[in-house]
Amino acid sequence: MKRIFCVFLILATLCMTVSAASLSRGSRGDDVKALQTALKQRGFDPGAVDGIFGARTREAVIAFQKANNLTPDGVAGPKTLAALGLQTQSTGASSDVYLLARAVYAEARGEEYLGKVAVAAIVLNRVNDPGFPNSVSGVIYQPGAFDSVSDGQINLSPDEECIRAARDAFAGWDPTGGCLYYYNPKTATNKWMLSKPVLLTVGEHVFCR
Amino acid sequence: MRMKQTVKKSGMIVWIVFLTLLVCVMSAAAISQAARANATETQWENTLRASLQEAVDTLRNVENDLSKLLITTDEAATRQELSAVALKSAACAQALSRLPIVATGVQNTLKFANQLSSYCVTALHSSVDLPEDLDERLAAFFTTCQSVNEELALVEAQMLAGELALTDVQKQTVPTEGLFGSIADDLLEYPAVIFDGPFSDGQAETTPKQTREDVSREQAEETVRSLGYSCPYTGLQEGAIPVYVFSDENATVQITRAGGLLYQILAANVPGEETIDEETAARTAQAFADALDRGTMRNVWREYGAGTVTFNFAPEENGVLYYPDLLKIKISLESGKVVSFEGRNYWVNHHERAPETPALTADEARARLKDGFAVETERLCVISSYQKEVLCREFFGTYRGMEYAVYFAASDGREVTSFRILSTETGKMVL
Repeated sequence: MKRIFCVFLILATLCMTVSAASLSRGSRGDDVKALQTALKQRGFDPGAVDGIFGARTREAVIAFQKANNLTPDGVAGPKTLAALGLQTQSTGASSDVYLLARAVYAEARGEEYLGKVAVAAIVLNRVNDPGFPNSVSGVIYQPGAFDSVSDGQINLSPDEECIRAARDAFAGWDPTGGCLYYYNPKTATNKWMLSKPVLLTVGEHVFCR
Repeated sequence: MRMKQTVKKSGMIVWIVFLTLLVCVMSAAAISQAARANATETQWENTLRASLQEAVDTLRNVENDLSKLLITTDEAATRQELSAVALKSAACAQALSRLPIVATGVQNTLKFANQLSSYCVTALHSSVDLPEDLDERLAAFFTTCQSVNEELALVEAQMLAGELALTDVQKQTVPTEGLFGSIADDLLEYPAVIFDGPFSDGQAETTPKQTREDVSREQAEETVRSLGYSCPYTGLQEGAIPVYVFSDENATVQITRAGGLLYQILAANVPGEETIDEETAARTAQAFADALDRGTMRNVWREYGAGTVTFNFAPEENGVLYYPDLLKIKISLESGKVVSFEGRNYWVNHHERAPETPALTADEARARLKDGFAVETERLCVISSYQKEVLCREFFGTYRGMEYAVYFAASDGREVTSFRILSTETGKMVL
């Protein structure tokens, strides 16, 4: 028991652990406090250590990212957290949100907010539909499902808006009314897809069931 | 002169040797690259084949188990076989998930496997007794399973004979429409009511439990204006739930055609400086919920977002909270205004319910909790369990330092479900 306690103490001294895969504006709780403390210790001022990821925390994160040659997006993702000496230990939900946000960024970063939420909702509608895999990762990585997975764009870091869109879709927002497919009519060639009746058009994408 | 010629000649030889070497090196690189690409493609083909083979094998086992279920009369044995079918068809679905989506047959087979798995789970959990029409429905699944297996056997044979490469299917360099033969929608001719599990078509159908009269576009517009939005009408969206859509660069508002209820509001809400606290936001959300005139709405939990807090409301009638009718209201902590609203669950599930008297008293339910469970709150509520509404006694509390919510059926005291509650960076999360 004593040995276990010592190991725990050493680990706790060496690094703090945060439970989220990424922290961004709006995040709250002990993880944000750990982030704010780490920023402060490194000379970046996030304001009060209050556990609220607000504008000042975001500015401090961006400043830290610039100083460490990281993408200055204001999102404390795995790389930023690691650079701050914070280990990530993602919960299932937070890593799913982050993966979904990556899919949204890869597929619809040029779209308006509604279009981003719509793409995120398509993924979640598929998770709930028996004709598709039963998990977010299963749907996103299903062979042939998304071009951005095939060409590697899925691995790009999402911006704040895509994370917000993914969170909104997870919280139940679905502007598509249960659609399962979408495509860009300017570039799509799949006849089967093109034969489906279009229910909604948002920006460059049309959505269908 | 001769020396000049010799120099010229040797220069040419150097060039020829250089160019020959260059061609050799480039050819070697191209061959190596092609070999690598070939190896990668072969590896990918093998992965896809392994997935198909796994799906074929498990679905054959499922057919065998279903055939045994058809003659089983013992309830314990039936339950055991149902569990086996649920697990095996879920494994089949998992294997099919790794195959290219472009083949329609793959999608329909996946749909069949998922539905069969969920039906078995639902049959096992829906009530104390097994469903009365279990035999009839299992027979329908068995017939479909046989047909699906026959088609899969053909695909398997083509694959093993080297006539079909699954990588070609993914690249769509071979026709995919005829692949998997007749495993098409018409093969899955079981009634919709046969299945209403977690991944059901029933859930996707979104048929409301209450019939509502259609409203006109003008009436919908009136509702939008009464909410303070000026966005113009952009069209009727004929999705699973038809909605009138009003949209501009600031927000999109959807009103259901049936009933004319506020269905969704969605705004990008770029976060700014927070000017109000959560409690002020909670009061704004409560006022908005009350103004919808949908009876007493209780704020049941909240979730933090980027500069926003989302409040979840459930209606309360006669001291009973109705979780299936949940709606969400998101408030900006900068403007203090409603930025988003989500009312799908309310629209689908809300209906007039006959009052139910709980047979189980609060004390009797409390006695069923694990020793050491420290109760923080207790109330009567209705939850959805396998597509059925169950009146429950809900207990929030802690056990061994962890937070839980436990639900006992108010009719017979059985434990319907329990959740572990985790605090995350965005609020409480139930698992």
